[in-house]
Amino acid sequence: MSRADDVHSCIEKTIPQALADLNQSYSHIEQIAQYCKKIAASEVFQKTQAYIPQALSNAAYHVHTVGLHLTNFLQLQANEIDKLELQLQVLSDRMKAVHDHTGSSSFRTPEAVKGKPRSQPKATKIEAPAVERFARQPIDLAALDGHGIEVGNKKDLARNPSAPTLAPATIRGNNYDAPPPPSFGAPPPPSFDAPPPPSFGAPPSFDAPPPPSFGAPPPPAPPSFGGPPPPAPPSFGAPPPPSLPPFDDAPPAFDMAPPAFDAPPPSFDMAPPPPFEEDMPPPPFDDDAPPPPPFYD
Amino acid sequence: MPLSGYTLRRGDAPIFLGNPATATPANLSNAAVQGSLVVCIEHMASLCSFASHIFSEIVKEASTTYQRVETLRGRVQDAVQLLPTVEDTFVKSSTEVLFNNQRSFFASATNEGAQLFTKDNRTNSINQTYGRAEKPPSFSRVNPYMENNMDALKLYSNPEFFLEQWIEEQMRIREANKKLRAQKKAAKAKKAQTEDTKSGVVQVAKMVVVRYDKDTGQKIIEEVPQVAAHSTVQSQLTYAEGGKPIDFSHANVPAYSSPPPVSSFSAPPSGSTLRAPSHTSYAPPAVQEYIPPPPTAATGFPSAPQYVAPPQVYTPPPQHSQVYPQQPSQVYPQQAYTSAPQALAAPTAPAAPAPPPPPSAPAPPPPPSGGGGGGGGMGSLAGALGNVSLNSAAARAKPVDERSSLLNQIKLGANLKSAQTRAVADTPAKEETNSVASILARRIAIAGSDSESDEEDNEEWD
Amino acid sequence: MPAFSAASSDPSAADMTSHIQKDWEQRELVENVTVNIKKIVEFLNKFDASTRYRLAKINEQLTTLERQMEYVEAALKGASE
Repeated sequence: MSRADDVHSCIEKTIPQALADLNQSYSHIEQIAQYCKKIAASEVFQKTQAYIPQALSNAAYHVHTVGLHLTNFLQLQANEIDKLELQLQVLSDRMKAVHDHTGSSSFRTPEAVKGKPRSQPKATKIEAPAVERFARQPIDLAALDGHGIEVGNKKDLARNPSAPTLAPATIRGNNYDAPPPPSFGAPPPPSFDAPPPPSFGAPPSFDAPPPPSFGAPPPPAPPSFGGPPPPAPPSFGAPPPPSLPPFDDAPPAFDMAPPAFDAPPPSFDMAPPPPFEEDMPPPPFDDDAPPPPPFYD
Repeated sequence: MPLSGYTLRRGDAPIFLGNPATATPANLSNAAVQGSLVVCIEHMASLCSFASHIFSEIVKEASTTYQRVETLRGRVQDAVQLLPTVEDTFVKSSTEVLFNNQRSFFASATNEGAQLFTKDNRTNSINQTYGRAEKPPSFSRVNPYMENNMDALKLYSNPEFFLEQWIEEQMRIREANKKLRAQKKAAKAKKAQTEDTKSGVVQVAKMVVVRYDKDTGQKIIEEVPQVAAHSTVQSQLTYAEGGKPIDFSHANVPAYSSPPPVSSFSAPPSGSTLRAPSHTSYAPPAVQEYIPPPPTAATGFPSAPQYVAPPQVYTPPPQHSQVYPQQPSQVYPQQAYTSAPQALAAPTAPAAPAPPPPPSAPAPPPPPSGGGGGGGGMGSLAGALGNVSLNSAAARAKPVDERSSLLNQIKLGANLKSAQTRAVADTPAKEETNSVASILARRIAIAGSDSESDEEDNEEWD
Repeated sequence: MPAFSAASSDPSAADMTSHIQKDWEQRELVENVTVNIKKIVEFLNKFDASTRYRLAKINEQLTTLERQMEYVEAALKGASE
């Protein structure tokens, strides 16, 4: 840098020097020209004749020098400027990096810089919620006992072996649509696969909603299931409501209206649907299926 | 510019100072040469001045550049020293501070000139040349005598001439744009107007047909494409006829063209009664905005009612209707009666759909006199035709009925030339009640045979 | 040149030719000088054009640098406050 400065300063000195020299020579020549004009002497003629080439070379030399110095000067200037450009680039890159690092560029709004300094904006406090430090705890395997279906307790079994074991208030999920587990014992009703379809076409071979009790022996209640045909639920097609009233005593429970179970009614005593008058097409099914044989013997 | 700065000074003529007596050729030549040499020296002097001039200017600019570079260097160094502290503060300060801190007032100190060539910007050489130039004559003395108090100098030389020209051009362009915009607006307004009028005339709600599939019992909703007014009438008739095209062209007297057949069919009481059978004949009646008259009702043909399955209801008519225009050329030049058979004969089965005949086709009016040419028996028909044509401007119901009757009669004429008298005689004589059974019977008969049905169809009309 | 002088019988003619020759040479010299002066002038013009071009380039670079400098200074100033 300093060397360049020296060179610079040199040039700053030399160039003016060269210019001064040039001017000097110019003045000399001027004087001589004036003199030659005045004196028209033959002797001067010889001198002028000798002088002219010298003057010319002198002029050429001065012009050359000044030009050379100027060129050097400009070259150095260009170098200096390149260096400065690089330095500036470094500066701006570092600033940019700082901005990126701290994320302050997100605060930069696209609006133009305002001329007037803004008054202090309202101090909006950013309150971070207190984060608790994570602490390890032993896993509590009984935490989710309240959810889902519970396998029958042994206590209940001992109490009432005959009753279909339905743990009270344990059924929370929608498990009616699930097919009865094989542990039910009795052969699963022939077509109790699908949820009660909206049409009558579903073979109603199973008489009553199989209580989703697992691990219970086929209850002797089945005959009671098939007994009094429950009144035909007028609405079919509605999905069974998710909640089953607790079955403590199965048979009496089934004497009551089937718990909102819109399963296909066990009997097909229902009248055919009323004929449709409007634009409704006749249902595609025939309602002439005979009632199925009793399920249990 | 540099060249202008260097002017070869013409030296004075060499002065030979000396005794003419001592003048020798050598002396003379020497004197001459000396003169030129002196001139040379002067040239060199001017060269030097020229060079110094140029160099000085360059040096001036270079020095200013140098100054700028120096200042810039100083600033960069200061910034470099300041940067680390700033970095630290940035990293340490919270986002809140960063967010709330106002941005500093920033304005560029360096004013960039527009590099315009103004009086101030002129270089020395230009100034010199300008100084040497002649001034314009003094027009100030003429100004008092000028019209409009114009400056006389402006007429001589107006430096703002180009600017004014440019302004004028801009104004012209603006005016042109305005005109264009106004034209476009007008065109749009016109378009809107014409569209409104058109829509007022032609706009007929689309017909939505709801049918039930026979087998599956599913709803089938169909949108029947709009057919032109007259063509729908045609379609009804043709359908009733089982696909026989009826030449409507000459019957489409301009009087009928505009009103859609909708009202014509729905209004007349006869039409309504005629419509009754359609309800029973079809399965669920079509849900329509405008009720295309059941073909049988429209035609009133004595032919057996044609009971076509619902799905087929609306398809054939358009085809049939489109069959007509195939024969317009043949129709027009000929008489109404004779043309009919051709039209009828042409496509018996639904042919390739042709566009419905233009309503404004210059249909030759059913020539009553032409009817006479068909024979004595045709006279009544001709009269009927004439009546029909005369009544075109009457109430809607009547024209339609008459038209349909006309069509039917034409058909009859086409098919049973010989029996026409009988047919004509029959029509006024018998008037059957329009009962469902009778119409159905007619339709069935139509499907079976044509000739017999014609007689029966005739009964219905009139 | 001596060859020429033989053509004229008059010794003054010989002088004349010599004089003329001298004159010619002198003029040739003068011509040479002027040509060189013109060459220098041409060089000066070219030099002037090229230096102005370089100066303009430098000026342009300087302007961009100065603008960048302004921005950086403003950013630093804002951050330091």
